[in-house]
Amino acid sequence: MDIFSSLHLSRRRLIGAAVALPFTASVVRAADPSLSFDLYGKFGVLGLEFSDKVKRLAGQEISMKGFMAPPLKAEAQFFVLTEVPMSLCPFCSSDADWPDNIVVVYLLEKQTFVQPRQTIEVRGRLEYGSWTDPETGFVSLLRIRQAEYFSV
Amino acid sequence: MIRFILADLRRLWAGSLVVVLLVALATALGVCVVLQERALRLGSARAADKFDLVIGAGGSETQLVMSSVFLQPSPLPLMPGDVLARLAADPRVDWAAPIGFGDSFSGYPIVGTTVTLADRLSGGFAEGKLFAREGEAVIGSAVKLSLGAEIKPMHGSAEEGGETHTELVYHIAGRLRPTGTAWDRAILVPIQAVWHIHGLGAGEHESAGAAGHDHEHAGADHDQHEHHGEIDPDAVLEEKWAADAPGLPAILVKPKTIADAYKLRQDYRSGNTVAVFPGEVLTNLYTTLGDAKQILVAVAAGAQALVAASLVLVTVIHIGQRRRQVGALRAFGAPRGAIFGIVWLEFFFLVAVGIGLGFALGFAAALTLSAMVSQSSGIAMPVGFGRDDAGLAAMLLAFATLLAALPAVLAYRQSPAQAMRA
Repeated sequence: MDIFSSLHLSRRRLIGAAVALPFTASVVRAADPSLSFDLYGKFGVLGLEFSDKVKRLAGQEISMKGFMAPPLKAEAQFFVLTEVPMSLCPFCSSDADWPDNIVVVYLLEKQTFVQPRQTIEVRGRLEYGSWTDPETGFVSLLRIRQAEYFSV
Repeated sequence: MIRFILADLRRLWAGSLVVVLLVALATALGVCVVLQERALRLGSARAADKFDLVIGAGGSETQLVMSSVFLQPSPLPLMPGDVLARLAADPRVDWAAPIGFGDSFSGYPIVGTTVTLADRLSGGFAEGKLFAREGEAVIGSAVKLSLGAEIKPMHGSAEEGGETHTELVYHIAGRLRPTGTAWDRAILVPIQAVWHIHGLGAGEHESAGAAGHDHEHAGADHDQHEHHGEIDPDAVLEEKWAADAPGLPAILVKPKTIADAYKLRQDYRSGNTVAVFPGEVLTNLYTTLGDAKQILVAVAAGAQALVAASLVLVTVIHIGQRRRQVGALRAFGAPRGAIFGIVWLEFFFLVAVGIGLGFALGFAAALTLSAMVSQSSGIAMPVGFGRDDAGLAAMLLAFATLLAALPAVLAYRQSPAQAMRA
């Protein structure tokens, strides 16, 4: 029966660790700097130029609030974050500065989507500059990588 | 203790087998539903992956995607031909290809399109080459015809009593590589030939009203079609889109950037056209699919609960019948814990084997169902376990743990003296 007692101990430890894990994870996750949709500073000679804040935060973990645009691909590693909910509101998307004002969010793995009808918060690493996705052939200007999202 | 259990199971093999089968069938039901839903979802998503943006005449978005991406025949309204010319000249567009459906040949849909799409669709040819003349065709990998064979297009499909067009016979020039999409079952021909067969297009401007040839089913007004005599099958393909090109049911567009994709969708959603990502239509369908899955999973869970209840009934009766044996064991000095352990392990082992078998059965059932769907639609269905399924297995096993504890507690609480007296 001493086998069982040792098992018991390790199981207890295991359960304890499992219970504690989410709390430690949240302690490690300090508040990330948040970014709004004022992404562009001015019209430069080469068209739109990113704002100083975007340039300063590039490469850092940030959080951003917005809406999920209608998914371009049914199963994808990315989705598009917009300032206004363009999936529902037919008037919002007639906005002149839309859709230069989009951020492409790259997730950790491919998935199919359930379109959230409310504001979502995205956390991940900010990156800017023209980049071509080798898999889809799409070019994007502003990205959040290794991202996770949840409804606010 | 283990040997005791094994001896017990060998003695009661028939009953044990029934218990295992009951559990296996109840588990398989739930597993099959989960796997099948995932296969449908991922299969359809991957089949639509090549198609970024579909533009059609104003109408149902779902219908447009079903017809163009999954090649389900339906009478789509036509949009004016100048849309294609505008798209081809748009700097945001990488390429745009028209698709015209409606005809078929021995059950395979014939799709009129351009060299560009035929070339991009599967990234190469298994054999042969692209169509270069009006009387040539390219077939998908699942079309059971050989190179050089003749294709006589039929209006609509055979079930609808369509008539065969006599103006033009296509010759197969090439076969595409497999793509795992509905287009594997398609016959691709130059769109120009489709227009000519239906009496439209260059040199035959009867009137813009000719674009009103919706492919109504069942040969309703065939006699009114003014089919022109012979079409030259060696005519060179003309792929410069004039503004007065005939009408089109759908156009596939490959935008250059993600932002362009959204801008184009925005621009062509007003007036008399509709632009849609197949992905957004499918995402809406998945919501419905998910709801259906929830209901079926609930039904499966009900079946599992019924099986669990019947197992409890059987084991309680069984333990009652074995009171003397338990009493004897106790009298020989077996501790209460050992009695508990024996009964619990025996029952848990049976249920766990049943659950394992159920996962295998469910997987086999989902494979069979998916193969049937693939056969009819040409869409490849990926059946496979995901990370969430481990959670399902863990939940079932935890439930089995509790279930097995019930008879074990009953056996544990028997006093040896009472058992011997009875």
